[in-house]
Amino acid sequence: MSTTQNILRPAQRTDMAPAESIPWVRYALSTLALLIIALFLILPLVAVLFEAFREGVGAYVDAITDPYTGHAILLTLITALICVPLNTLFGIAAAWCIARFQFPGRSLLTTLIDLPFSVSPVIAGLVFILIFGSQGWFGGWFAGHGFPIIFALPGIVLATMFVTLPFVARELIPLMQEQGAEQEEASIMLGASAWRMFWTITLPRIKWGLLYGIILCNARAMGEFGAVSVVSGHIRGATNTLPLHVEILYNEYQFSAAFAVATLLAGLAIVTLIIKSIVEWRQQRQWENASS
Amino acid sequence: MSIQVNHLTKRYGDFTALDDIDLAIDDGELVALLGPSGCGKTTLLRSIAGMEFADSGNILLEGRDMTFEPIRHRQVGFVFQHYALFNHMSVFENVAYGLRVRPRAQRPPEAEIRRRVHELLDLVQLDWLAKRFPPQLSGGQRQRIALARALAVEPRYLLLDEPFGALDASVRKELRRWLRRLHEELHVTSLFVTHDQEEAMEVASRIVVMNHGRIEQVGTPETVYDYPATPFVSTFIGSVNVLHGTLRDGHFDTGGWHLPIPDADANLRSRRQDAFVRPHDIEIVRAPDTPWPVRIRHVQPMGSSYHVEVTPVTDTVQGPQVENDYLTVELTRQAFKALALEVGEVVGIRVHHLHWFHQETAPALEEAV
Repeated sequence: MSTTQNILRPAQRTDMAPAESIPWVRYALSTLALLIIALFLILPLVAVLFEAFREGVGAYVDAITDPYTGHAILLTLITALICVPLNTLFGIAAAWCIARFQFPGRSLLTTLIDLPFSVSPVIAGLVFILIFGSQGWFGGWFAGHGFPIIFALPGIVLATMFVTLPFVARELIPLMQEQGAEQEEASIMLGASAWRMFWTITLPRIKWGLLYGIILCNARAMGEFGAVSVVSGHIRGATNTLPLHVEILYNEYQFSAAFAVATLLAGLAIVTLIIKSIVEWRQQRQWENASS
Repeated sequence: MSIQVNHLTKRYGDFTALDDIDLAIDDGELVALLGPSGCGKTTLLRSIAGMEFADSGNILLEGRDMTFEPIRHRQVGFVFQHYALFNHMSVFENVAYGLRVRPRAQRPPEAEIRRRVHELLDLVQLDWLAKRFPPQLSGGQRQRIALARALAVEPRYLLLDEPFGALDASVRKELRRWLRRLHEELHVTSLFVTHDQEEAMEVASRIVVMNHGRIEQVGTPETVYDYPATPFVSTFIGSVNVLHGTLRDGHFDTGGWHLPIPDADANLRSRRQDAFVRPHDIEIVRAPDTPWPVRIRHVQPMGSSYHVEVTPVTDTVQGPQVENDYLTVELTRQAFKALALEVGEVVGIRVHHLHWFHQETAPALEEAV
C-alpha cells in the first residue's frame, strides 16, 4: 500500500487527485466492499452451515451418508471426470489455434467459444432436449439403439460440457497471445518436433494459467444446475447430481438434509478458492520472475 | 555456393515483402541484410530459415533445393532479436536443449552434452552463469547465451535477426566486435539482419542493401559506400547532401551554381538530375571571391568531428536547389579549429567529389571536382 502511495504522490499535484489520496474515500470504499462481501458471500455461507447443523451432528451425518446422496456425489464426480479433461484438451487446442495461427473463421471461433457464457444454461439444456430428446432429431435413433441420451448420463455430460467449454480456452488465449510464438519457434529451430516442443516449452509456460482454467472449469462442472436440471430428469439414484439432489431435498421440506448436502458443494467451492489463490500467487511470482 | 536464393517472391495481401530476390552467399561469409524497416530483410531471413514460405522462387542450400524442406533438415542456427531464451530453464539447459531434443539414436550421451555445453559457454565467456535463469541475466548476456544455444546444434548456417537491436549502445558496440571475432574463429556461414548501416559496415564482409522488397546493391562495405548503385543506397548508407539540377557541358548546374566536372563527357546532358555529395567531400574555405558562398547556420560537435550546416548565399535570382535547403559539411577537429567558424558568418565551399545516377537506375558515374 505504501509503495502505491509513493508512486501516486507526484500525481497529486496535477488537477485530478486520485481517490487514494483522500483518506476518507479510501476508508469508505473499503468498508463498502467489505460490507458487500459479508452480506452476499460470508452470510450465506454461515447460513448454510448453521442450517446444516440445526438438527444436530447426527442428522448431518445421516444426510451425508444417505445412499442417494452417495450416488449423487458419485454421479457429480463422474461427470466432472469426463468433462474437465475433454474441455482441457479442447481449451488447449482452441487457444493454440487462435493464439498461433491466422485462418479464416478465427474471430468466429473466438466468439463461439464465448457462446456458453452468453446463453442461459436452461436454454442450453433445452437445445439438447430438442436434438436428443425422444421427440428430438436424433433422440429416437439413439434410444432405439439402447443408448438414451436425455434423462441419462450422456445428456448430463453433454450439458455440463457445453456450459464449461469456455473456461480453459478463455484463460489460455490471452496468455498465449501475450507470450508470443518466439520461444516455440526457437525450439523448432533447435530441431525439436512439435510434440516435444509442446511438452518442453509450451506446457511449462502455460501451466499455471492452464491449472487456473481447469480449477474454474471443475468448479462449474460440479456445481452446474440449470442445464443439467433440464436434461437429467431428476431420477433419484440414477440421474441426480449434487446440486439437483439439494433442490429435491429442499422441495421435500428436508431443509436440514438439503443444507447438509449443500455444505459439500460449499466445501468444494472453498477448496477451489484456496487452490485458486495458491495458483494465482504462483502465477504472479512466475511473471515477476520473468519480467525482472 | 553455400546459400542461393532464386527469384524469391512473397506477398502479404497487397504488400510485397519480397520482390524477385536473387542472392548468393559463399561458404564462411559474414553477410549483412541491411535496409529500413518493412524492406523485407527479416522475411528473407525467415524464409531461408524455413519459418516462412515464399509464394514463388526457390532456396538452395549447398546446391540442394530446400524451398519446402522442414526447418530441421536445413541445419540452421537462428538468433532472435528478443533472444527467445526459455525462461523456465537454466542457462545450461537452454544451451543443451538442441542436443537433448535429438532423436534417441543421434542424441549424444549425457557426459558429452555436458562437455559440449560448457565448451560453448566458455566460448561466449559465460560459463559462470550456467546455473542461472535467463530473466536474471543482462540483455548482452542473454544474447550471447542465445548464440551459444544456436551454435550447440553445429549449424551450417547461422542466421541472426537484428541480434543487437534490443541492446544498449555500448553493449551493442562490444557485441559487434565480439561477433566479428567469433566468426573469424568458427567460420560458419552467417547472415544477419540489421537496419543500422554502421553495424553492417563494422561487422559484415559483404552487405546486401534492401528496400521495398528488392535488393538495391550487394557489395563490400567499401563498395556500397564509395560506389552506391542507386540513389537509395547513396542516401541510406552514410549521410549525403542531395542537389537538384541539370547536367550540361561538363558542369552540374543547380540554380546559379555551376559545379565543373573535369574529364566528364562535354556532350553529357540531362535535364533533371540529382547529384549526391558526402558531407566529408565538402571543404570550407575563407576566400573573398568564392563562387559558392554559404552562411553558417549551425555547428554540431560530434566528438571526433564537427558537422556544420550551411545555407547557400546567392545574389542571383535563382539559388542552388539543395534538399532541405541546407548542406551538411563534415570537418575534422583540426580543420574546424583552424577555421574558427562562427554561426552567421559567410564563407565559401569547395566540392571535392560528387556522384549521380543517370535516369535513376544506371550505375554511378563518379567524378572528382
